[in-house]
Amino acid sequence: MSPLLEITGLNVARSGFEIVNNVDLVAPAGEVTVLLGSNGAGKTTLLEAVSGVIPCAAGSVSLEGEYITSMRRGKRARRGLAHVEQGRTVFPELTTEENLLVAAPKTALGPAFDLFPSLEKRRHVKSGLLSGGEQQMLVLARAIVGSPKMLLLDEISLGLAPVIIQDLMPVVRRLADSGIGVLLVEQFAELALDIGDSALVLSRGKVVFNGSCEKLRSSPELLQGAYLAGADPEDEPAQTGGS
Amino acid sequence: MLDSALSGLPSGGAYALVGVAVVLLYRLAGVMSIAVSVFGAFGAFVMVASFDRGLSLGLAVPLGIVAGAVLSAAMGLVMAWLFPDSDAITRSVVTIGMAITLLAVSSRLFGDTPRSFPPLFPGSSFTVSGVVVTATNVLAVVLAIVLAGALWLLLHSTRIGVRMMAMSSRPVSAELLGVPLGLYTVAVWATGGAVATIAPILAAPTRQADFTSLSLLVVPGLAAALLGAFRSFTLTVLAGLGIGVLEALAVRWEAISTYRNALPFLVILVVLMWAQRAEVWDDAR
Amino acid sequence: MLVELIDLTKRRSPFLLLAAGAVLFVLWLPEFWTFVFIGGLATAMVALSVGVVYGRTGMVSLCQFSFAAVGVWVMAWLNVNTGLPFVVMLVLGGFAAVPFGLVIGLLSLRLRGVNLAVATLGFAAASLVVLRRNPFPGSFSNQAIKRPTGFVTENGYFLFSCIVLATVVAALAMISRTRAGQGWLAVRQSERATASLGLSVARVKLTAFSVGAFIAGIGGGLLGGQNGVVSQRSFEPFDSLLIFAVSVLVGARFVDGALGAGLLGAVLPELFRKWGIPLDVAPMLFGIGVISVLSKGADGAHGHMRHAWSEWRAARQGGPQGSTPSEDLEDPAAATPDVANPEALILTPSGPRGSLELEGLSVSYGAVVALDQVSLDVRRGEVHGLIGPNGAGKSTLIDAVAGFVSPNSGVVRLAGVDLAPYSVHRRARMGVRRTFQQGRAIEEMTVGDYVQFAAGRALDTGTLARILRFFDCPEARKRISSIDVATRRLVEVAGCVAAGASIVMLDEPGAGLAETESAALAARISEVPDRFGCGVLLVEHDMEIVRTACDRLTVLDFGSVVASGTPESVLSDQVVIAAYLGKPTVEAGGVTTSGAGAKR
Repeated sequence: MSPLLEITGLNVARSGFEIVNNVDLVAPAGEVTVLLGSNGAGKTTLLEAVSGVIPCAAGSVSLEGEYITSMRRGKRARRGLAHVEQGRTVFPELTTEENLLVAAPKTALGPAFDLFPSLEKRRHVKSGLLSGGEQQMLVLARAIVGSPKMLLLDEISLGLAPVIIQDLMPVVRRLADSGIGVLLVEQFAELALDIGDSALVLSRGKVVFNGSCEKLRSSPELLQGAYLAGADPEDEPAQTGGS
Repeated sequence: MLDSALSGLPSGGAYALVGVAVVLLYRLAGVMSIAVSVFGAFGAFVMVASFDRGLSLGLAVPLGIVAGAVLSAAMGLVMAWLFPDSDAITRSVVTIGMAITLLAVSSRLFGDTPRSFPPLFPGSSFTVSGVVVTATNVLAVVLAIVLAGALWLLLHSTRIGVRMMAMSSRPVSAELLGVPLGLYTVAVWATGGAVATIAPILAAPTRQADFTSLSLLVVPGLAAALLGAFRSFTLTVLAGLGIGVLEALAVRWEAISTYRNALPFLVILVVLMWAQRAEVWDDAR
Repeated sequence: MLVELIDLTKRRSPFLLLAAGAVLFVLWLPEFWTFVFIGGLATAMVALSVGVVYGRTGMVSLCQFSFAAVGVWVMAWLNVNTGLPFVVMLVLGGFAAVPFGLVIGLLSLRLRGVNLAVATLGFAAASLVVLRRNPFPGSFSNQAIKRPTGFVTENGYFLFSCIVLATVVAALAMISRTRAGQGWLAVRQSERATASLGLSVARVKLTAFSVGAFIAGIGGGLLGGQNGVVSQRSFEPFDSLLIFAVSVLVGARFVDGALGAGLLGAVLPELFRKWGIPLDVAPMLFGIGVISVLSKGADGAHGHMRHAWSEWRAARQGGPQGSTPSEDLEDPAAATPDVANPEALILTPSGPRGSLELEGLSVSYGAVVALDQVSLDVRRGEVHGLIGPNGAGKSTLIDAVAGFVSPNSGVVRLAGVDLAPYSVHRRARMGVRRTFQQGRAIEEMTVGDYVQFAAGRALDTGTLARILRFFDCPEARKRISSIDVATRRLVEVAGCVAAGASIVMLDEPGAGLAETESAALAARISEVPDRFGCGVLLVEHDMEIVRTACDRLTVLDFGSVVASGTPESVLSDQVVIAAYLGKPTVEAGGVTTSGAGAKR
């Protein structure tokens, strides 16, 4: 059986620059695949290419064995791909409920409020007036009500208070446990690794690590290298002793 | 005084309707359409041409409205096909191209001489405390309000409307949630064309009705839409009616009466400058 | 001046020959066609005015024929009421349009894009109303505008129109070389970037509209002389829309494009008449043409042709470099690579040299606090790094220093001078310069022109070449549109130092560079302070660059400074690692997070 989401030899360019370079990735159903890397490593671009926000230069993306590489965005969405973009992209002048209605009819909104009971109280509030945490819950809920098979999450923790992030991560885990495939891009690496199954680390658009989350958790120098040194993860440990 | 104020209502209603069409297209299709009244004039001329050939008014009017809607939808299709990711400026320039082409085509089809439009309710009028109110006056106001209200309801209390609003605020995010952008865009253009066709049908009996003049209804329509900040149907309708009444009142004022059609421009200036006073920088970073 | 003119003539000689041939051809044509071509020249002037306002400056103006109408109206009035010579009337007509241009220009300071389009269309419609009420003087009494003596025949007046057009084009070329004129292209790209180069955006826009109105007014005047008695029907809003569309279709930013637009607009319909094709086919074609051109990018048919032409030429001359010998080639002394030469290249400073100090700077957008009590200083002679995760407030900090956002509290000082009262372009002139992540170097310019434009002064070729080579920039004559975004950012940096800036703020200069390139860039940046006698504030995500280039480092997280010091100490600080790796430190008690968790 083909895996839920399979990316092969993907290259993506943005205004002439190769941002993602020959990336292979497999994200199975029911698992959280964590995608890490420093700023500008190409994580967001990779997600955008998968969901069709930007075109791929080379390589292929398939969902349940079907090539979606050049499919229109709306069609990919209707095939079960949900992309939660960076930066809490609520429709600010719509209420919480209306935001959900964009993705699914009224009868299908139940799971959203089951997942985030606190949204229920804010049902008729304009989403532009929600707090950052509530907005993030909303875009997550909005992606869920369309009952997707594959969920792409782009830095859902960005700009949120730590308490809220710690509430959000277990929800992602639960979604995966319910059978959805999750590809999680996250700045809070440790939290992501805590809930993830397998992990990839990108650096300058290339995969520099591909393995289990456990392995990455147990060797933090790998990660610190990728984030703070730019390229070479090996020369890092010597300097991390301080403080 | 009140007489002449009321006489401005058919024009005002037409401005309001064009304004509503402009707002609709701007909010939901991301385009400031200069061509919207050209579609409207086209529909109105289809109506008058078929009426002149003996079709009853009750059939000619819907036929005209459908013609305006279809033409507009076709242009919407062109827009959705060729300019899916363009900015508002490029799209608006495209509508200039559409306006020019369609003006030429229409003057070929309908000629460039003024036509006499049949009044929708000939002769029916009543008197309220000394002021004559014609059915057209009432209809103009009622139509403008009802149509704007209907659009508002469509947007705010149906799922399609909600999805359309989502599409207008973040097209990419909406598409990622499965909203069919192309289909909706064409639907919005069709609706805009229909609304814009009602405007000249309403106003033509009371003014010079050649194709170009009716196409210029877009200017007061744009003024009304601007007063509604390109967002609010309510404000746009009020503004359109207000401009119509203002023009009618200006007739009584010898000194400015001949310039009354320049009033929308002054209104545009004052309102825009005030509304945009904080916009010191452009969006480019 | 004369040298420049001769040089221009030499470079353009094939075009000039072509033009002379075209003029002779028109003179040879029967009178009727000469008459038609006169209309083409007059229309070309209006197209050129669209080219200035929209093509160069990027402002949609749908009322250029209204400016032309003002020109004719004043001319007709002068013709009836005075005995002034034609040329004087023509020029006065042009000047009469300028105040109207200024009014629209004032609007453009706050109205942009779609709003400006609506306002200008409104102006066109309003001017039609006024024109109907006040027809052109002499149109009823049949007092025709008399053509200039000696140029009364069609051939004569055609030659006269050619001379007028050539004069206007030459004058426009001169204005385009002034700072305000170069600013047109800059404003089209980004107003913020323009102001950051020390130009007043208001002035740039106002000059564009005044010059545009003047040219349109002269164009109207030529139409007046062509027809003698003018009908207001040629100056209706749809004529403005039509000329706008044709100008976009052809790409009237340059003179040859405007000429094409004018001839297309005026001559094509007459040709159709002659061939028995209905006249209204012309506007139909224009409308369809503009739509199809726009769907292929906004450059206009002429832009595409220019592009194809330059590619063809480059291909013929071997390689994209092109190798036409040109005066841009540096003198032999500068031609030897002197990157290793430690000699400092300190240029005359544009303002007070000294350090930049931020004290308790706070900025909030509505309820969101973007910067919270930030204090730091950038000393002359150092590279000060500013790092932090996404959304930490780094860009806001640069904006606040440059003057784009006004702080809620706190002070920004340059060499002890409080910058609060100074606008963005004033600060830039005082020596606070910045670059933009997106690469805001102006596409239409050559690298050399841009650097000198940014510098606000002419640099001798040796200095220019040395600065460019220092930053590994392409050679001076290369067009910026032909280089990639990362290199454009380098050109921007070169512009900043060439301006003699005291403080250079670099916003992610390394983004998108390959590994080896970014290492080279880091080495360059670390040399900048000593070489150019300034201080550098470097915002960068690439830690290799930060490590190599920075003397000191400040880390922002959630708008607050969480650490500062030498790169080594800062980058090994646990708080910094936490901020980057995103260990939410709430379990550590919420207090030790030094801002990260405390604020929300």
